[in-house]
Amino acid sequence: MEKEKVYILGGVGVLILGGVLFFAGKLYVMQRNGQEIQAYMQENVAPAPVPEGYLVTEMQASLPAEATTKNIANTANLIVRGKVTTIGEAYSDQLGFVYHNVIIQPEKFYKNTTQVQQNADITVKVFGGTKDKEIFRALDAPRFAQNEQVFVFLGKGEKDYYVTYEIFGKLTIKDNKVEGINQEQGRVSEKLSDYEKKVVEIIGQK
Amino acid sequence: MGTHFLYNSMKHRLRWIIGSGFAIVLVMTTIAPVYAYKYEKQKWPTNSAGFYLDIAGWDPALIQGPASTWNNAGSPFRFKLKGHNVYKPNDGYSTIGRYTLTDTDAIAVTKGQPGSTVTEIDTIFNMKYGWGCCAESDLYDVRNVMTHEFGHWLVLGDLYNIFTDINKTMYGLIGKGETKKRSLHQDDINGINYIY
Repeated sequence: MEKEKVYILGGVGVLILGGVLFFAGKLYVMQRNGQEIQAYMQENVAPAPVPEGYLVTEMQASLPAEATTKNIANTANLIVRGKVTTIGEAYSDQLGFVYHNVIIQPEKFYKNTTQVQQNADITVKVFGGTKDKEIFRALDAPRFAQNEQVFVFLGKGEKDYYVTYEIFGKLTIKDNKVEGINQEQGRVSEKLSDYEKKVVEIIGQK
Repeated sequence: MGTHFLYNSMKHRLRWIIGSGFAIVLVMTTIAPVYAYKYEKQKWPTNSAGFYLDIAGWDPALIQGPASTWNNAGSPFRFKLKGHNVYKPNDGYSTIGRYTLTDTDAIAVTKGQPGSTVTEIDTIFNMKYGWGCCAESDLYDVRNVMTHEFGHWLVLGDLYNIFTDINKTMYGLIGKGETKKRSLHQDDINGINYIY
């Protein structure tokens, strides 16, 4: 009888410890992800020095909840890997928002509901830029660099494309690794092949 | 006798296991610093901000409610409805408007000029999405979003930590049918009281 109690108590102990560790792990991951996202955003908008006589306008966007790879991939019309070939001049619309166009030369399509031709360059409209002595800084917008290799999730806008979930929808490819942020992982740094596989699986599930 | 000793020892170990487990949770969740609120380092020159509406078809109470929420947060700062204005960028009138922004997923955007003092801030609700007044599950709640955007007017920044910030008004991601941002979290209240 005593022996049975020992086994039961031992079993209960192991189960409790397992549960507590699982719970603690989950909380830790959530906490770490949040901090990594916050840090990535801070890096992304690190302000450059403002030349004298320039006006700075800052914009903050409220984004839809759950910026997970699954939601971002399902929302996108176009998921593509490619190279940034051109970063255009800034321009503004009638509402006073400043944008610039980024041209991406596609290398591989993962989702293409808008039937973009395989060799056609893709124009992406991105918040931010400097126009007429106004520096328009969009705190949640993705940033692109000339010749950057990117993995992007794009939505179809009025004429061109835009990055879905803003900063969450653009990842950089460096040394065969995909780098960016999402809500389930925080900071992403993953082998390109693994990331591709994950995205293809998500699209396939829908 | 041996089994009895083992039983007591096991009970002791169980207590130790549970204690250690909680200690691990505590350490893991407090291991790094977190923002209580994020202040962008500028403020309105006086403790008030007048706002204009360009929201034809919407009940002004949907905007006045969130203004009152912040007005009642214990600081001397006050939002004041000034009247109607057709939104124009950089016209000197801080305006809340509703327009369709086709080239972004943003639900709403707030923009203004940072500096030592704030002079104008505008908020645009993106009419690409459906908007509701009453927590409809398939619509974004105007009061919920406006309470968050008014936080930006106060120069509080977005927070993104799903673990520590998800219940705060200044959490930067917003769900359909969500209303929890209508009520200020203690950290949001501390934010406005720190600035003003």
